[in-house]
Amino acid sequence: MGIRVENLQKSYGTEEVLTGLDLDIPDGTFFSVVAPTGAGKTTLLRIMAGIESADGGTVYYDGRDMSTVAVQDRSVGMVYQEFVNYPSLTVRENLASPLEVSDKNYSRDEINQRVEETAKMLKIDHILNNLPEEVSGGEAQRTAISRALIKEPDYLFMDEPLANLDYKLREQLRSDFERLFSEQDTTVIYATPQAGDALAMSTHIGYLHEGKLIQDAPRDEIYFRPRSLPVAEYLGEPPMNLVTGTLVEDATERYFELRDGTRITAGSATGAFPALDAGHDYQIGFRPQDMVYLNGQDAAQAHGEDTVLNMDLAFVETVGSTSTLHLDYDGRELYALNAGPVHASPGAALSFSLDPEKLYIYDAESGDLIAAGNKIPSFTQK
Amino acid sequence: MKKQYYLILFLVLLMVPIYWMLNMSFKPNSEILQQLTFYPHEFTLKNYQEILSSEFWRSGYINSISMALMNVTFVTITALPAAYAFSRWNFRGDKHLFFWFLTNRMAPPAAFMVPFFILYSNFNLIDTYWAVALAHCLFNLPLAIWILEGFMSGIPKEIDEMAFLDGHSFPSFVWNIFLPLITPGIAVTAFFTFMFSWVELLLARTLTNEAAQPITVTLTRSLGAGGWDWGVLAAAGVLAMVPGAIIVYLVRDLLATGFSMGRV
Repeated sequence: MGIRVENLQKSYGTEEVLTGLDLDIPDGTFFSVVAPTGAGKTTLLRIMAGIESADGGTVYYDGRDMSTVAVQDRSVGMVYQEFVNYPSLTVRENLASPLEVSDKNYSRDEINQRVEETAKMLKIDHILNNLPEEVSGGEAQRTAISRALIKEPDYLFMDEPLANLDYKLREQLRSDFERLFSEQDTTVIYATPQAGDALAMSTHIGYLHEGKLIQDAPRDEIYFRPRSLPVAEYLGEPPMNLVTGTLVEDATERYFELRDGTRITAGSATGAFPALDAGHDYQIGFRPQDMVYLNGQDAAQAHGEDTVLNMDLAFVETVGSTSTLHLDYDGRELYALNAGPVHASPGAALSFSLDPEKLYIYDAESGDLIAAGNKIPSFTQK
Repeated sequence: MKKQYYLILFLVLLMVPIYWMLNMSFKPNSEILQQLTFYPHEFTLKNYQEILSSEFWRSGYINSISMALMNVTFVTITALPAAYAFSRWNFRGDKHLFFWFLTNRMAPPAAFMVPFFILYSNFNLIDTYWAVALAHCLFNLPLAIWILEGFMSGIPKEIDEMAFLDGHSFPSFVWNIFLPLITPGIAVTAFFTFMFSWVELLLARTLTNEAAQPITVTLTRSLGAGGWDWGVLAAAGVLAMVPGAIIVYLVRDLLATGFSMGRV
């Protein structure tokens, strides 16, 4: 049944953090709450876990109203952004602590065995006799995660657990998470501002915007069908490109005319984008990986159907074999991905081809998704 | 190097009165009164013998220790929950209340002398340990709350939440998790509380007669028929410093940690 949240409200003074938030987290999922910093992710997690009270609304665990259930009586674990361990206890004692106070009355042997097992699973069995302050940040966070996991909670809340770790540790821990939670049946509720982390680990993602979850769906669905502009602009690394274009329809053609006169074919051949009105402005979105970089000589021979976009390069970021091109277009920053390095200096005019069947069309005013190209994986709308 | 010499010189200057008291405590009165000697020429332990064998002096020490310990107990037991509340919870007027507590500490004990005397007379508390131990709470409690609040606020609130999430009940959290973390704070608090109670004279003198008279009061009332007995007074003074020294020695590690982390 999982966690259900209805009409959750919370404000701090005059600042409204949650404004009637509804949420459904099915059992056994890895649910990421994604939003920029300060959007209220932490507050939402704390209210769901029961360490903070809401101003209004209800949290249900498996259909049971949890308003009056003390946090001690809930089967939950929590991992904070800061590495919170009991400083006066060794790592071993830290891990044993939840079992010792559990009402399941574990025996000494059982506790020791569970501690050893969990420590091995999270690779901290070599520091069991150290104090938390004596171990590295990554190990401290592993300790905190172990302590949260050791009593096998139904729900594990993680509030940006990787935020204070350096890159390498993040990657390690991230892959450990994927391994751990595919084996365990714990439901994980994970808050992060990192779209990449969420997309890599989650089964479900919810996007928190202005105090509400404006979309929550299985990972692929929210990625391939972002229902509104804020979701589209956030979920993706780098995020989706958006340009403004006016739909033009004449006897032979149907295309979007961008501000600089560039035409993007509106996919008339395949019959996509039926519900659009000529003369209207739309936000046209496309993923950075769908922009194919054309070297000088290729530019002339782009595929017939594809649209060619010309943009100025702001700068190139090359990480290993992938280059992220930062582009200036119509006063916006757009991104393109290219396998292999790109040798061009800032300010250079570059050309890209774009498959018109990979476009997202958003209403310019409401920001709602109207249509998506035929070559984007489709989902039956629930 | 030079700085160290200045420090040593300063230390020596500070130690002069203490040395002088120690010096005097091993001299007979005749030597004290008749000549200036920098060390006891006629070394004697008679002064200490007199104190340790006299009920008058001995009861002074026992009273002092009893009152100070009673006071430390009251203050610690009440200041811990109060400091926890100030540190962890927001409530209407919390900051004002906190400051008002501190202002009690700012008032001179003399200001409270008469009210205390009248009040305790009505409750028949005069000349009991309770009188002095309770009266000292007025000064020690604010200080204790203030110090402990500083220590507690240095411990992240997440630790509390973590413990509750792990299934600790409030008492279990306090006993197993929280108190071990603020032990240095408790040591510092107890130290200051004890020392205040140990040396405070005015209220102790007003609120006791003979039965509960602490050592500070005994020191001021030891004028015998033959005038002041300087040697005995000096020996009593030396002995009065002993408990403080012992306490500092026992908790010196905790104090060092405490002084460096809390609000002292």
